[in-house]
Amino acid sequence: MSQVIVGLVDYGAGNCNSVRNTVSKLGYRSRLISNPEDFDDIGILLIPGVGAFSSAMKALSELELIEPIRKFAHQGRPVIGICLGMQLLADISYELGITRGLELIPGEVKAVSEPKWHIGWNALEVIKQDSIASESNGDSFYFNHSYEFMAPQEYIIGVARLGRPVVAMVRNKNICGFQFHPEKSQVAGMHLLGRAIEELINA
Amino acid sequence: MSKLQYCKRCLYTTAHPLGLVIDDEGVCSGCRIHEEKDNLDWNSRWQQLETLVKDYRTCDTRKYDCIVPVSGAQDSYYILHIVKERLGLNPLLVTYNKYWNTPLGIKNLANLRIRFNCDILFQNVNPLSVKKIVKTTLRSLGSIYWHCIAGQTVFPVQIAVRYQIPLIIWGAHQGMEQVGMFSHEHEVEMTRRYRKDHDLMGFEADDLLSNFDTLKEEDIWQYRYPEDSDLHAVGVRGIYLNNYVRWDPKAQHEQMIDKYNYQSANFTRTFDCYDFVDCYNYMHLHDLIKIYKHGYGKVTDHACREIRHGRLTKEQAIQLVLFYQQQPIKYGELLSEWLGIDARSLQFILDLSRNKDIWKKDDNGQWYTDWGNIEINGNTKVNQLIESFPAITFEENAKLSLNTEDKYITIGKGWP
Amino acid sequence: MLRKRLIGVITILNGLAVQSFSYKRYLPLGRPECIAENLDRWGADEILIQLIDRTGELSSPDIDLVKKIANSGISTPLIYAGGILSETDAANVIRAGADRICIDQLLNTNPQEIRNIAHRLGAQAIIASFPLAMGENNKPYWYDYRENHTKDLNEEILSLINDHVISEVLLTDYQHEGIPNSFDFKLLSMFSNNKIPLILFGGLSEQEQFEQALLNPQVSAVAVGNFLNYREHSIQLIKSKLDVMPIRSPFYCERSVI
Repeated sequence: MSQVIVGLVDYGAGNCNSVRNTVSKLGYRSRLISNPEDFDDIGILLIPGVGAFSSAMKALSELELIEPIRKFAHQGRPVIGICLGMQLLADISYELGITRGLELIPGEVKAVSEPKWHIGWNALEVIKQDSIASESNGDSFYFNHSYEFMAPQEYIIGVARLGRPVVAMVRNKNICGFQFHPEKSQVAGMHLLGRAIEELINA
Repeated sequence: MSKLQYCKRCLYTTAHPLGLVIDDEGVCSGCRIHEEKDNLDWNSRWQQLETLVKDYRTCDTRKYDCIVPVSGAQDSYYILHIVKERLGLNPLLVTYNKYWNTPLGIKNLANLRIRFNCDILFQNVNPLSVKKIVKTTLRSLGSIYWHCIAGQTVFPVQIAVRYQIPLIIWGAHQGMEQVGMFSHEHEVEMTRRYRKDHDLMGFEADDLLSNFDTLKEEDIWQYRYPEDSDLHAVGVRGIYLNNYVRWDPKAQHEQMIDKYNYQSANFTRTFDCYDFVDCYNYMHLHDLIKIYKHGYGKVTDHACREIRHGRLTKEQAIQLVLFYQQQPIKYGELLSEWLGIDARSLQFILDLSRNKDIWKKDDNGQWYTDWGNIEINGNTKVNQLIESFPAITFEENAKLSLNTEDKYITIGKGWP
Repeated sequence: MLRKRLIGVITILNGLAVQSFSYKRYLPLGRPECIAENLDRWGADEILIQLIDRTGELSSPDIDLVKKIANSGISTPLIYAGGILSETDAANVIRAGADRICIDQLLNTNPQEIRNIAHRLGAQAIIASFPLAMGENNKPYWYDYRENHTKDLNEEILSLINDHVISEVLLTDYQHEGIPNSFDFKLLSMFSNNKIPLILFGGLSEQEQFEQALLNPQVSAVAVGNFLNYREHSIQLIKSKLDVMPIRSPFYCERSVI
């Protein structure tokens, strides 16, 4: 068992247990983070989540977690966002009116259109050489979302194709995000998440 | 919690540990699937079996066509009779040493391999590990039998992978025979899922390791199921003969006694003398635990089987069950001694597994249950012990101890 | 490229996983969590747990069961069906660990509430279940098994579909449940006037019908229940015969999960 503690931000949007189980299988201890004091000895922060962007940001604000998360990231400490968690890393979302995000990776979150959802297993196409992602190029992962992260090219590591490309993975040095669910993507997901945690804490 | 339901025909209820469904006519899934035994074309089903095994028959006497898991009881003779005599296959026998072997079981197994002239592999897991496992499963799962079933069900699969012999031939699928889990026409095959869910009560070897800190990996790795990739590479497959042959254990055992000198013995807790004669605990301590946990013993399984085969009426079956399930167990001291715990401690641990819905304590601290509470047709209840028995004959021709001392035989020569 | 899916279905009656035949006859299988764990190891693309007794006193989701399965260590997406009658029910099921929900009773009793659920969870999380059968005039009808009567899709249902409130339809050929190779493709005409993606279920067991399903552009997934319980590696067996289909390839676990 590694000594590193993985922090899982628990803000009531969905279930942390699947991510927690995968993290545990990978050999890491984990802790649920739901208040500002929980950050100190965390080695890496995971932001999971499903549901609405605006409710999530509201919950994070009420729990006073926005600033601690931003500070953690700006200190160069590693952060991984999963699904909604990845979208929260953006500047802004147009889901219900306008909501500000964590502003950790530039970009905007907009509705997926034609089709209106991205559901199912889709191949990750790595478009920028990356120590975390390149080995998983071509692997299929499980997507389940109706909003997508539109990021500037330099932050896009991988896409999936829904007719046209949809951003699947973003990275800004110590911060990365997966639009798909590695914790629901069986063996491929476990390998990728394991590599991500390993790379980011050792970077 | 949904209401407990009783089958109109047999003695099972929806509390059956394997799961049981009662249909709109009040008949259980086990009885319904049993009806197929009288409706299916068994000739054509036999042909299907012949077709299935054709791909595995090598006609090369230096190769094994299949693996047959055997013991000194449990339909082993009949299975081998079908595999060798009727199908003409060349089997490798495998057997897991459960430690609590009776002299009769040792002899039956020796006779089996000699009369059928087969090669056989024995697996004997080291005694310290087995004892640790038994102590753990007894305390934490209320079972002494986990190691026996885990070993019996995994050793053949491990050998199939290791020796690259893909076909494993089993006798009856217990889920089908008892609760009608599958139709004969589904031709269900061996799965890891069934083993974990029903044979091992939801606990595979690694689950014991991660849930209970009394065991180390060195104690349980021998019971690990092979990886899917290994099973796939060899093409391992386990089939059940009861899907292709009209399964009737009483009739089959009697044939085997006649033809191959299989030997049987009486038990105090059931009228069936043919099965489980190889173990000092199955019909005793293990059966006691069954009564504590589920409120019924193996005699009920035997009775339901005979009701379905039309050899007992439900009323007769109830009389037999009422009598036998209250009989005392024997050989408890053998297990205490083997485990190294005294009889009182053993009883204390056993009492922990009593189902409180079925067992209550009286004012003197004694456990009791309402034995007579078996419904017939949802109305009348039978509440008395019957002295004279319905005529159902099972032929005993030996004793568990073979007239020697009652003692576990770990490894026995068995012949003569 | 987005793959089509092979969904493993676990039907649950009184807490027991069962085989279900034409919505009439049941055979016991065992613990739902053991079957889910098995489907996970075999690589099912999604697991649908469908509880068929959530009526009367039990008219609510079985949250404990969702938690038990979701927390058991599986890493396969989970869909839950049974007793979801409100937005709160739906949110509770997702919070307990399901990824998507499947609704049926609500379609009959309170379709408006489905809009509220979509607003809260997103349409991608919502599947609508329609048991269908062929009726007179060679037209499919929608079977309400609680009231035991048949009907057509009404305006309200069609507007839910057209307004993109639900993401997929689970189209069940309930009469052929458990009968090998018997799915009736004529049932798809019920949804031919719109583009809602379909999950086909009921009687699918052989390569030929799987191919016919997956080649249909409106079909996004096939679901299999009973037939997955007869063999080892059933999911992989089905997938290995479909290797030119747009479906994720089969794999066989090499390493223990621990």
